[in-house]
Amino acid sequence: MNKTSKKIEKVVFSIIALIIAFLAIFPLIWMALASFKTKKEIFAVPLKIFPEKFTLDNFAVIFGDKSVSFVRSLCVTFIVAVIAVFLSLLINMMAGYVFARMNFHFKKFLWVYCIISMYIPGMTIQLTSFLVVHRLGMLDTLAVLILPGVVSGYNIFFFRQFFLNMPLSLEEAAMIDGAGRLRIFFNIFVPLTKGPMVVLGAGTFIGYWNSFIWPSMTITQPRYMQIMQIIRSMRSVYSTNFGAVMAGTSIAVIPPIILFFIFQKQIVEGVVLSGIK
Amino acid sequence: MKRRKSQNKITSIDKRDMKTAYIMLLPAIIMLTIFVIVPLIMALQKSFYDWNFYIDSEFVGLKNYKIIVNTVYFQKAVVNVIKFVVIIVPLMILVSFLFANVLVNLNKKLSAVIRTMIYIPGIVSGIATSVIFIFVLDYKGGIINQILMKLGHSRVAFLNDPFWAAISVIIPSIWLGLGGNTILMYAGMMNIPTEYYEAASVDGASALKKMIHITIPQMRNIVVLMSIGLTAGTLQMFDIPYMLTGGGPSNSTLTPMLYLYNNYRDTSKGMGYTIAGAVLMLILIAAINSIVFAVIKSDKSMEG
Repeated sequence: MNKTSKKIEKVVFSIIALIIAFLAIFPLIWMALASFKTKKEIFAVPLKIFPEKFTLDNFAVIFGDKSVSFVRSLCVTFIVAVIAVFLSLLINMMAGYVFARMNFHFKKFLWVYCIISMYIPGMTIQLTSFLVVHRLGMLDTLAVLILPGVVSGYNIFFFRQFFLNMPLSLEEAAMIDGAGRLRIFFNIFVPLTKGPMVVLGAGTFIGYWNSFIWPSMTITQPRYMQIMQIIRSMRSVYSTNFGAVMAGTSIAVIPPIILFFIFQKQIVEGVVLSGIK
Repeated sequence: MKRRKSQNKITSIDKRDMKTAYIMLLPAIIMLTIFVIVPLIMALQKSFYDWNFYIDSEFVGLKNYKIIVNTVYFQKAVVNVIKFVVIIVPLMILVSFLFANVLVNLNKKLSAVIRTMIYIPGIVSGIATSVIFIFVLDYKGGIINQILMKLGHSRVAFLNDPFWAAISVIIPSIWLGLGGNTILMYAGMMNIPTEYYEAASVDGASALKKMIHITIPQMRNIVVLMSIGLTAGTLQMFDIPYMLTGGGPSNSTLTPMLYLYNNYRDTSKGMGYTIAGAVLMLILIAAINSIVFAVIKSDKSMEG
C-alpha cells in the first residue's frame, strides 16, 4: 500500500471515530441543552439546537420545589456512597489480603463462600433480602442503603489477585522487625494498593450513586430518598415539564462524570485489567 | 510462587497469625451471610411454600415452579429477554470489535480522547438514560422524530408500538455498554504481538486477511468472556424497560426482572411462585456463568 492511501485511510478512520464519539455523548449534551430551554423551545418545530437565551427557570423549579427535596437527596446519596466506598474498600481489601498472604484452617471453604456472591444474581435474592432487613428493623435507615452492597466477591477477588503478585519479602522484613499482621497490612500493603483502590472505589461510588431497585424497595420516607428515586418521581411530578426533568437529570449525572474525569486513566486501565485478568 | 506451593502446609507463623486472619475476614463473612447467603437460602426454601405477607405458609412442593412456568407473563418476559440477548450480544460484539479496529489505527492522542468520550455513557445510570431517551424519542417534539420528518418520513410512535418499543429499549442498552466493551476489545487488540502482523505483511497478506487469521483468533477469549458477561447482564435487564416503557406496550418489553419486581411490590399476590421464578433465573444465569469456568479452564490447560 502506498503512503497517500494509508494517509487517506487514517483520515477516514479518524472521521468515523469522531462521529461515533460524538453520537456517544450527544444524548447527554442534548439533555444539558434542554435544561436551559424554555418549554416552547424544548419541543420547537423546527428543531432549535441552542436556546435563544439560556434560562435558569428549570433549575429554579427543581431547587425550589419543597415536595421533591432534590438537594437533600443529592446530599444523602453522596454521603451514602462515600461511606459505602470507605467500608467496601476496607472490608474487601482485608479479605483479599488474608486470602492472598495468610494461611488458616477452612481457607478454601471460606474462599468459595466469599466469591460465590459473584454468581448470585441480585434479582434472585431481592425479595428475601428485603424480608431480612425488614425483620432486622432496618427499613428507612441509612444502614439499609449502605450495608447490603458493601461486600463484593468480585472486589475481594480483584484485591486478592493484586496482593498475590506482590513479593514475599514485603512481609518477611517487617516480621523480622516484629510487626504484627494488622500493622503490616495497614502500613505496607494499603499504601501500595492505590491503583486498585481508585478503580474499585470509583466503581463502588458510581454503583451506589446509580442504584435504584434496592432503594425503591427499602426507602419510602422522603428523608433518605436516593437521587435516582427522585429522578423517577420527577418524571411523574413534572410529566408536562420536560425542562425541569432534564435539569434534574443533568445534575444527577454530574457527580459520577466528575469522578470519572478525575480518575479516568486508572478507570479505563481498570476496565482493561478486569477483562483480561 | 513459593507461597502457592506451600499453601496447604500451616507453619508456626501461620498458627500465631490465625486469629488475626479470622478477625480480618470476619466483617466480610458476616455481611455476606446476612445479605447474600441467608437471603439465598430463604429464597430456595420459600420457593417450595405457598405464602405471602398475610397468610401462613404451607409446603407445596414443586407446585410454585409449575405455576410460574405456566404463567403467561413470565413466559412472555423470558421470551422477550432471550430476544434481547440474541440481538444485543452479537450487535455489541460486532460494533465494539469494528470500532476497536478503527481505534487501533488512529494516532495515540486522538484514540485516547475518543476512548474517554465513549466511556462516559457507561457511567450514566439506567434510570437517567431512560429519561434522556424518553425525551429523545418523544412522539411530537423528540429529536429523532423531527429528523425523520425532515427526511420525509412520518413520525414513529417509538414507545407505543411493540416493535419500535423493543428497538427503543435495545438502543439505550447498547449506548450504555458500547464504550466499556470497545475499550476491552481495544485492549485485547493492543495485546496481540505486532510481530504477527509484521510477519503477515512480509508474506503480503491483506488487511482483511490479517483480521481473519490473526486478530479474530487472538481475540477469542475476550469475545467469549464478553458474550457471557453481556448475556448475564441482559437477562437481568431492568432499569431501561422499567422507566422507558414500563414493560409495554402489551408486554412487548417486559423482562423477567421487571415482572418479578412488579410482583414483589404487589403484596396481595402469592410470593411463592414469584420466588420460584427468581430461582429459575438463578439457575439459568448460573448455567451461563459455568461456561466461563469451562472456558478459563480449557484455556489454562492449553497454556500448560
